[in-house]
Amino acid sequence: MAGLRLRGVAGSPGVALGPAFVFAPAARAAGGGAEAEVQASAAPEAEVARWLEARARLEAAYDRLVERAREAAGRGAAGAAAAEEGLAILEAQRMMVDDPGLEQAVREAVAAGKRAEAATREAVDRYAALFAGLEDAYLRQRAEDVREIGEAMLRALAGEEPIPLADLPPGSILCAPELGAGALLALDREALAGLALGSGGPTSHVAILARSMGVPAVLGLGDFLDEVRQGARVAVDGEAGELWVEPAGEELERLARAERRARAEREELAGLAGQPAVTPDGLRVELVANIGGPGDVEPALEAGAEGVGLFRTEFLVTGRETLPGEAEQAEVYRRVLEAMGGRPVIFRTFDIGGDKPVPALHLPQEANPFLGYRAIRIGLDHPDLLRTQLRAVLRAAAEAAPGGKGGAAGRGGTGPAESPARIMLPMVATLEEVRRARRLLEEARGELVARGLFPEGLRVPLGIMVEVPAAALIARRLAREVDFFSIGSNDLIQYTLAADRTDERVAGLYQPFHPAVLRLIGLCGEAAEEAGIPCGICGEMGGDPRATALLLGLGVRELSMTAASLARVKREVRRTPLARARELARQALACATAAEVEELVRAFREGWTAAGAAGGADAP
Amino acid sequence: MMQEATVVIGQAEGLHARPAAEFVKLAHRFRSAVRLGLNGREADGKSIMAVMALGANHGAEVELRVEGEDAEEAFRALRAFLEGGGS
Repeated sequence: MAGLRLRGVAGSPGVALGPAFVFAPAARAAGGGAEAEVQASAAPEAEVARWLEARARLEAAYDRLVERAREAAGRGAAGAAAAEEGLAILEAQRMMVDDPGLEQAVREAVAAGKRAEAATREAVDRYAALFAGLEDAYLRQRAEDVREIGEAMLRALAGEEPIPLADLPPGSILCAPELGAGALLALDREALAGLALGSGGPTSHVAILARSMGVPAVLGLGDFLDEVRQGARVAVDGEAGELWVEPAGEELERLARAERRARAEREELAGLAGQPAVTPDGLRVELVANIGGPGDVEPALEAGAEGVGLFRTEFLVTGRETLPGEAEQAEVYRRVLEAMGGRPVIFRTFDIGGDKPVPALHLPQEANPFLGYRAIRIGLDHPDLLRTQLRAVLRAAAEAAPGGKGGAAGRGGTGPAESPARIMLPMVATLEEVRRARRLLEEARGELVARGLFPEGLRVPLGIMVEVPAAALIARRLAREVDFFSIGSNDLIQYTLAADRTDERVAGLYQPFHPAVLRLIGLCGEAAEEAGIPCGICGEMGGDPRATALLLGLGVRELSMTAASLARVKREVRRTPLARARELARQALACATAAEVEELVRAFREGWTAAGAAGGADAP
Repeated sequence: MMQEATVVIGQAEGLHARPAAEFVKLAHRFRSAVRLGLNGREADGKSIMAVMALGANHGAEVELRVEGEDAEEAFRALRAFLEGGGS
């Protein structure tokens, strides 16, 4: 018996072997001595006191989780936005524990003769059913929060640790039906060797976080917990997207080798930190980082980022009741520019609306937010908002440029000095949008020059994100009027295939390697080369080493990604001759399906893996 | 004393998630009892689960009723919050 192999999806690369730590909140409901609970309780006062005592322990446990999540969000490590989201979830759960309605319902049930356990279950079921019946998708999901609290309360009543994940044994593979970003952040990172979840896809928050934490993960395993015993030896294969239960014999040896190799790889990658990103035939590629706030700068520099390819500025406005002014924004932007020490920083103007609400703007709810009022559309419709941000970036650029010295190697030759600050417009679909934004930028610049706040000779490039297929199709025309392109692959793929990657039923249609997507990227690369402007990419594809050769072959010269992906992509660049990348791209463009392209890429990269393995322990 | 009025939800996200949590936090600052009514259903304004389960969207007309010694002050603050003026 070689063990059981369960198929899921690859969530975060690497292989990890270890004891399963099964965290299955729902599994408890069936288990705990139902008979005793149904039995009438003799002393209602004692039952209420027991419940209140359990709640106090649960409150204390939640306080610790919230505190840890707050620290993680404050550190602003990679995935800071996810950390904020996770923190908000934990805080809301903390309030639910205290809910007077819950307490009231439990008291009433106890007074009617129920034991605390049964009373808790009844109250929780009632609230969960209430949420599950709501129209709003977000609120429907809150039913899960309520159930999670109910389970924690039952554990507390049973005298167990209310939130067992708080003390995960070292080296564990955490196996759970699902895990929120906040709960993942609250885990002891040292103890967590790998992650196996029933739900989630490669672009879910938990996958992004696992990658940034360097924890191998397999997601989307469905009802796999029936197959996993607490403490069983399991292996997470984050490359193949598989979970092995009690692997034995050859399989176990293979996985153990893979784990060793993954560890050796981590060490190899660490050794690349000081090396430049150059192909064997001499093409210099710019490897830069996506950041969500000043807190992300340090990890990005540590990982070897040569700049910031995407600064998501939305954190300044989302969830806020009042919008930040010019000075407040300028201060944040200046801090990032200074921390990057003259390396280029691309500021994306507020990419709001859709799934990123801004209370201060009172945006209406939309039936189809991704095709609606968002990003540059809002910016041009609220010119004051956009103008304020543009002025703030310009002021920061002026303040961070001692003596007007351009930090980046000036591409324009002997022209005016170029600032390391760049401005990028999200979701551009038409040329008019670029022209209107350019006018606003010139106005802002004129005002600042008149006020003596901006030096006449400093140039701040203006570029666009290419994420709407229409923009890619007119790339040649756009390239004449912008200073750079950056492909927003996540949205470009979503719009090209008309598939929402967060909808598990159609997530399979979200295909980065679909020839249609590659053609659109190729149009951008070609147009940029013709016009002599740089073409970058800042979506998930930029950080996927499987896509690196293709992207280089298609004309992309700047790859922006989370700090955690930089080393792997750099290794890929350093072993991919441009001539071969071009040939690969040409073949890929001629493919009919994403599967064909993936096969092509796999064959192309097999050479590396074989070469790498020959030097390692993998040789038979 | 008691104060009561129909208020149109101005919060862009509706009274969901974060705004619901903020509303409940605000309600807890006062001694008065706070009730919210929508479409014949009623919620305790100090219960996050009840407020969230009300599912009040942006633009919904909810009845806000505040009763207690600091009702006047509480009513003013809660009404301003619901209308979208922030807390």
